[in-house]
Amino acid sequence: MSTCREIAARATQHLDGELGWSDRLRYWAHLVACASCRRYVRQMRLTTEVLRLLGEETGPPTTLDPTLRQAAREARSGASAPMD
Amino acid sequence: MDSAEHRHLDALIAGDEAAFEELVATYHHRLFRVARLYVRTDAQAHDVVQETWLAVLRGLRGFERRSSLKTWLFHIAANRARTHAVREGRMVPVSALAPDEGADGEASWFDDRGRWAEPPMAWASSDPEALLLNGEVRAALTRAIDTLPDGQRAVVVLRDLEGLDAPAACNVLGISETNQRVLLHRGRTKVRAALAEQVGRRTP
Repeated sequence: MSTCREIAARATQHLDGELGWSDRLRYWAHLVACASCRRYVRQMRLTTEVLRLLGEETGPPTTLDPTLRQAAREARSGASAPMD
Repeated sequence: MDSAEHRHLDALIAGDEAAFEELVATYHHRLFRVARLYVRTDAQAHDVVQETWLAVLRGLRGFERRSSLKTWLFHIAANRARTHAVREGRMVPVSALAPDEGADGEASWFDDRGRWAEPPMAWASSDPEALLLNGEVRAALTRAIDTLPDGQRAVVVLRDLEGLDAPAACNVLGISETNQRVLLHRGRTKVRAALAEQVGRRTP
């Protein structure tokens, strides 16, 4: 049986599906028996969900600055030319 | 890489300016975030992103599509940013796993038999959107990310904010799987602790 400390230490591997099957079984067995670890693992998962949501937020609108616009045009005019 | 991404790439290679504008709109702030993992100032990060777009325009036709477009873009930005960081004499942050970096705050949570001494408290909400809508929670979250050691922040940004998988994050950052896993775990643990401080409730 794993200790709570071990469960917490391997929460990321558990959430990322990186545990082998025997470790996974031990992990689940502990979670079934331990409400505190269940809560901890749930909170770790929720943490990743909050981070993901934050990361999905769009940035401020960007417009191509003149250098990039020009570079994009040049790339286009080169697009029909033979490579190199 | 999915078929929509292939079509987008084909349009880019054909010189479709709208496709390029869309790419910039989607990724500009993300590339900025990646650049900022390495360079000290916003101004330098803007330079890095600008260089990245120019490199992308030059390299599009050579892109072999073995990775996703996103990973490729991040890879270019990270390389450019590393070059800037080295030029200004700044250590590349995630090249090595510093053993003292995360001296696990977890340790004090457990008794000497490895059981919870301070069990986690219930949280006021289990809805990610509701948590982010709370200004104080949001502030604590961004502060927690900003104050992570460089390596941990880099991995948390790529894995959790940007949603890259482990191999892609290792590829962009140039670190090993083991290194990546440890940094991610330490980073996530600290971010969870910061959230817990905001939304943990004493009543079980």
